[in-house]
Amino acid sequence: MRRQFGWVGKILRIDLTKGQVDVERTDRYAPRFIGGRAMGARIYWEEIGPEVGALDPENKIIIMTGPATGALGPGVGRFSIISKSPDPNPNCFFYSDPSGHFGPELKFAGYDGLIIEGKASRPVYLWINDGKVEIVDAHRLWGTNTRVARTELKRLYGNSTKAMIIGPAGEHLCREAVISTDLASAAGEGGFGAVMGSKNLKAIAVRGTGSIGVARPGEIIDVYNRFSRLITRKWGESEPPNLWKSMQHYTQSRPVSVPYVDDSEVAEEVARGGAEKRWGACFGCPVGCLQAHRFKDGLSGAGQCNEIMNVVEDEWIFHKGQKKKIGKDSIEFGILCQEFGLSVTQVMGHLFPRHKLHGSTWPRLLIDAGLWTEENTGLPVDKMGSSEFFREYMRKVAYREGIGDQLAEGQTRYLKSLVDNARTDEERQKARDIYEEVTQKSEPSYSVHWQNVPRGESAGSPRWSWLLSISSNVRRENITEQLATNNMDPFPKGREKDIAQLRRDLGRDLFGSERAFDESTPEGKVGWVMYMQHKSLETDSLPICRYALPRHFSVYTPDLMGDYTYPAQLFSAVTGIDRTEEEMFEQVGERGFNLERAILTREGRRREHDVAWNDYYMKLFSSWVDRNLLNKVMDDYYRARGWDVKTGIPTQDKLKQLDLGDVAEELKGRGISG
Amino acid sequence: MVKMSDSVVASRGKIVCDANLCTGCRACEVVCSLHHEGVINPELSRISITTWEYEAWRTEAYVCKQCEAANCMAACPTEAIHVDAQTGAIVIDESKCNGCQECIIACPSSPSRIRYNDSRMVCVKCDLCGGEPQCVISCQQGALTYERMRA
Repeated sequence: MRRQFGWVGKILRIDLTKGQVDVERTDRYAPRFIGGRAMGARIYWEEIGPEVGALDPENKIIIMTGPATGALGPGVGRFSIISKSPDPNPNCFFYSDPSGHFGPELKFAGYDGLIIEGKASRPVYLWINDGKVEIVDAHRLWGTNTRVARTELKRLYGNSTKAMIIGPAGEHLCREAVISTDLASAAGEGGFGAVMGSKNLKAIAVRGTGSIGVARPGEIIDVYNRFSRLITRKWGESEPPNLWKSMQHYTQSRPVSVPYVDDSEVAEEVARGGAEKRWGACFGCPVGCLQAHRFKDGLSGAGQCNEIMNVVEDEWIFHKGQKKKIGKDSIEFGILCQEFGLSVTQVMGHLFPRHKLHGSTWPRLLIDAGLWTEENTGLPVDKMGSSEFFREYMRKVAYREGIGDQLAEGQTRYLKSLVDNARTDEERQKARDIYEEVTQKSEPSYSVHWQNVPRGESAGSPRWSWLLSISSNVRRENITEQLATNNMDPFPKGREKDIAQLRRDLGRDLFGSERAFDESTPEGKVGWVMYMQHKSLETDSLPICRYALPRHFSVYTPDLMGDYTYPAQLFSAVTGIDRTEEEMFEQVGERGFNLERAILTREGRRREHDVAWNDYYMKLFSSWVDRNLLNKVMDDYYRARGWDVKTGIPTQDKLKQLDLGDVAEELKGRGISG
Repeated sequence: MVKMSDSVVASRGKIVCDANLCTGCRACEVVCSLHHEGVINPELSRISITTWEYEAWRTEAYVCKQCEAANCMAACPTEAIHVDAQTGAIVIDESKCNGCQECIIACPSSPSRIRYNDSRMVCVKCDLCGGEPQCVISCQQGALTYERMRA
């Protein structure tokens, strides 16, 4: 058989119950499912049935890289983790796509992916080194935070060792626990830290010195150099570099021009010599959006924008930072989450209101209603939002101490338990009001991440595209907004008319409607949302970064046009299998998305569960969302997808058309689709 | 010590890294191994980046300094290591290299800037890509520069 380029050819299967390691061939799934998320979904379909509970030994952790992992481009450090998530109710298929340097290292060690199954009888970690795999006793690491564990593993196996680690939160099966990958990144979505914890698996350490064979080496470099020029400039060039790099000004004695960071207390601390700060990047990425800090008192860590810069005093400030100063507290918040192994986004969503429009977060509502007191929670409730509060909150949740035992079940389950366990009718009524305000009124509740965090320029503005997007999958596609804008880089001033015209043109060319990017109308949104869902599967399966792509526009070209075909160019150069962007879309985008839908369908999800988050969310938008109109748009969406309009189940014809005949057969056999 | 006669060209430059700009992305390692070896493998890259994540992402770049009087050249028993007439870079003629790795030991820098390719059984080092270092071109941070030594 023909030699495959891009994939290193082997997938490791590790059975922790038996302590057994097997090797399987990647070409069973490649190139049909490419890699990452789509390949992981295929393995999930074959191996994790609907009856399996997320924290059962029968659940598996599927870690999958792709042909782009380790090559050159934005986010080629990415890989996917696919498993059944313990966070949604009921537990269901979920995926998370962390980045960093772990994925490439796994390929250098000789493996495209890992399938971890069973449960170890005592705490263990995995040590994978150039084709050798060991299951090692981890009793000295169990109970440590991610920083201590990572430092110990590096001491043992060398500084170049990369590791995925769970913190105390994962060990204690907290449903919002993450798997920390490489210090600055994490598999944050789906609570996979708890899945690792349920298997008694503390860490996966990897070191590799092998090669990844590629089809056209020179072309990979050319594509990289060309594409990088669309998203950034080097220091010292006449045009300023991208937004991220512009923010680097503040520690590196470059001309300071960004008030956002210039204003920061941390910058002042750095200038006084009380702290160090540098910018870092995931493997092979020209953007470099990681920030690392080390304070004199020992506080040290790194994170991306979310983790580090968003929390100031008592609210999120991203992109609005001019008003407030980024202090050490906000850095500490992100670092503590990493060390405990908790999801930054989830904890941030619980403790800090994103917009004043939302009113309050649920802890604030509980405090105001008198349901949370210092006595019954052990938390300094009068200091809500302070570092004193979040330190205590995180520790209790991560170790399941006192109230933390219930909080670790996640917000929906916790608030439900308050209703169920209320001592008086009055308390019950108050608890129910809050439960109904901030969570879905009826179960199941599928969406977990960003649950109480509507995003957008303003929470009050209509957002048809993501209403549809979040209704139809477990996760909203981050890039939904980015196609219409220009990712993170602001367009040059004075060209607003050109940009508006470009957006109308793009809407017309791609979705047949000039108003596709006009969020005040549902017109053109079905096509747009399907496009983004396919795009996300394509990028997650290569995998490359969803934050930096797609680049329909560029601030560095005279006509402001970018190049959205980068994924196909990279795939072709690495694998030698020539594909156009359109073919990639059809083959991995639509096929992968339908496969995921088939999995969710098999797990019981139907159209009636495809609701835009919750009533709390809908209430915010009641002024503009006409539910009947939304229902009609949803009808159009199911029709365009080739799914049954009434049930939301993919039709037999559609699945067969996408070369998923066996999937169609199984759904038929289970009596799910006729 | 090798006696450097006047007819030997001095190196016109070397690759230097501004650690303040380096993000530790290691694109240079990938580009180098792709360009010289046709595969992706940081272990075969002539430039190597190490990051200390918990020290506020401190990075260090390891690449040949193109020594004036090069110990590696003196140590080479087969005269495979020589001065390139065009660029003045110290380069390895792989057809003459017997893979003894004496040059790796002789390199005064630590870690040694010369590496061993065990599949081809030759030593490899930075040759400045014939005067157009690919890692410098591809470093999107602008951290790597080709520093000219002589006019």
